[in-house]
Amino acid sequence: MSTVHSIRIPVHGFVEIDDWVRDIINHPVFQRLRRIRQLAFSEHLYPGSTHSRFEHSIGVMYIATRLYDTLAARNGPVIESSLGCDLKASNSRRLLQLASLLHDVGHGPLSHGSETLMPTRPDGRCLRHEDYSALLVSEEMTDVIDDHPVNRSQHNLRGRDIADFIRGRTLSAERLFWRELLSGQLDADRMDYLLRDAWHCGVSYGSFDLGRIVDTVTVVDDPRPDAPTGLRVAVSSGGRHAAEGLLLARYFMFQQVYFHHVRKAYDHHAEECLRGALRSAGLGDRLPAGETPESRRRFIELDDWVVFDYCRSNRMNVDSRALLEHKHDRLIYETGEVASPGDIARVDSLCDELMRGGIKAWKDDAAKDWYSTRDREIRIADDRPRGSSSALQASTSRPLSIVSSVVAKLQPSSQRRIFVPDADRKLAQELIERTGA
Amino acid sequence: MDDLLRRAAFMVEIAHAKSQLGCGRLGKTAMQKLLFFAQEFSRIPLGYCFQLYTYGPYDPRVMADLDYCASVELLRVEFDPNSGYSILPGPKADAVITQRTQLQREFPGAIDRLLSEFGRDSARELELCATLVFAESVDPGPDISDLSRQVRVIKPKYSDHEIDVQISRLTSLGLLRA
Repeated sequence: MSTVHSIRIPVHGFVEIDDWVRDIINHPVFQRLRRIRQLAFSEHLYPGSTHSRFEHSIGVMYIATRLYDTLAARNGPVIESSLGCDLKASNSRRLLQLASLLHDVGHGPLSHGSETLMPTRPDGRCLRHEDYSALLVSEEMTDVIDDHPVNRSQHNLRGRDIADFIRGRTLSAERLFWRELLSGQLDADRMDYLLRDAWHCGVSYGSFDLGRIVDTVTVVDDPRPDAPTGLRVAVSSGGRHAAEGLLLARYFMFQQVYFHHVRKAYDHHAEECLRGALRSAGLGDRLPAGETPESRRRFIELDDWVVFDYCRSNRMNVDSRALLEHKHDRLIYETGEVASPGDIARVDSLCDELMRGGIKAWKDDAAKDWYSTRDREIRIADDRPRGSSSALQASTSRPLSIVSSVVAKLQPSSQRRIFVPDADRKLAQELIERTGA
Repeated sequence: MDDLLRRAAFMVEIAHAKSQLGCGRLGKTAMQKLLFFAQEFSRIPLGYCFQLYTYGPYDPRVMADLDYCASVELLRVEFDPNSGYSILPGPKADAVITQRTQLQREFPGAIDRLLSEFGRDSARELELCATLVFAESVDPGPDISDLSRQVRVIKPKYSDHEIDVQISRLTSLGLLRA
């Protein structure tokens, strides 16, 4: 009989876990997340934002299993008949729970701040943190996944199953359906990071009605004639405004927190310090690719503390000083939220001009799409007339962008900015004025 | 070249070439799958990273790029409740003419070959083809019947005949193992 343990985390309070999850959490690969900050050096802007990927991962697991349990209780018969599965016999709940818990173990130091330093594959594509997560789960955690006694006696899951689920390489209709709860427009990952980051930053922008979304989540018929499973995750009409709230929270959080110009400046300094730390460790300019046990060991050793150590040991380095003394580069020029090709070209030439003038200028892009239409659209279930419901039939639905004029108006951000060292600000301004930009 | 403008220019090229083919509209699913084949078939490194969803290989960045192109009028994206989305070159498509020319120089004839092979396919056919190629890359079974069985499980709405026809075609193109 498994014992129930509790972990208390901000936002959700007590989260209950069993022996198997506790053993995974206690594994060194997962414990490393305590040393990976969720928002890198955002504390220079929002002093409370020193939280880690550790608590976020537990939060995602908590929300994903709540969503699963609601859907299984409310729509179980429809799901079973459409996907040809038996939810009681299936290990899908456990798979979703563990994939949600482990989806971020592959983050490099500084979370997203290190993604530009991930190596490129031979086909030109960059590795992403999901690739590292999959690699670590399937290769470095077999002792607490494949070989764990609870798994062997009850679930028979492989680390590879969880890795495929995280990376979107699972070839099962049922698993593809549940994966929407981890990676979709209505997924547990973004629900947790918005609430958690807002809580730690002390801002209200990330608030939305999580309880209402969990309460109204449902399944609908996939309207496309070529739909593979016939089912989609959606919210009932009563949850429409909560779904709008989630999208708007995302928009505000990106504009006010994640893309804030001061935070972006510290991301730049932190990335340069990480680059210096990698060079000091003899790793070159890129994170280890993790293709061998030794390479994975070196990747696991890299965490935020490596960057802190580098800063302390290289105090005179300009980027270390920025982090140690709160002296960041300054925003000198920016386009509107939606930059046209002409705007982007202007930023490029302006930055070149500044560098020709001897100024160490650098560019940043704050690109994000708030909401995608078509395949990944959040669908709002149509209300059924009273007495017409069938336990084995999913509702029809409409896309949120058709129902909601607010959502239909959201435009993607493609803002570009130029930063320069504080000491060069005046000179840079003069140069920019001379160009007439 | 700026990465966003490079990808945007590629989308404009596809919309332009497809409109010249005169064989039906270009929808969002078709654009998504044509970009998948641009990387897998034409070997044009666009930087997309496709994952498998219930609706086939998909990268949300494609939709983000498409939204960007529509917002700055490089593309015109129209919606008809009956027929769905249509993507056409927009009034400001020439704003990325430099990037389009550079792409043509870098990959001469590649877009024409991509469109001549897949440009007349329906979105349904493209989705099946992309899923077959993706599924084989995930789990190359001992023979082609395993692939057919796997795809039938995740795409039950396609007939055996449809799957077999596309397997033969993709095998002859070198996109699946012989």
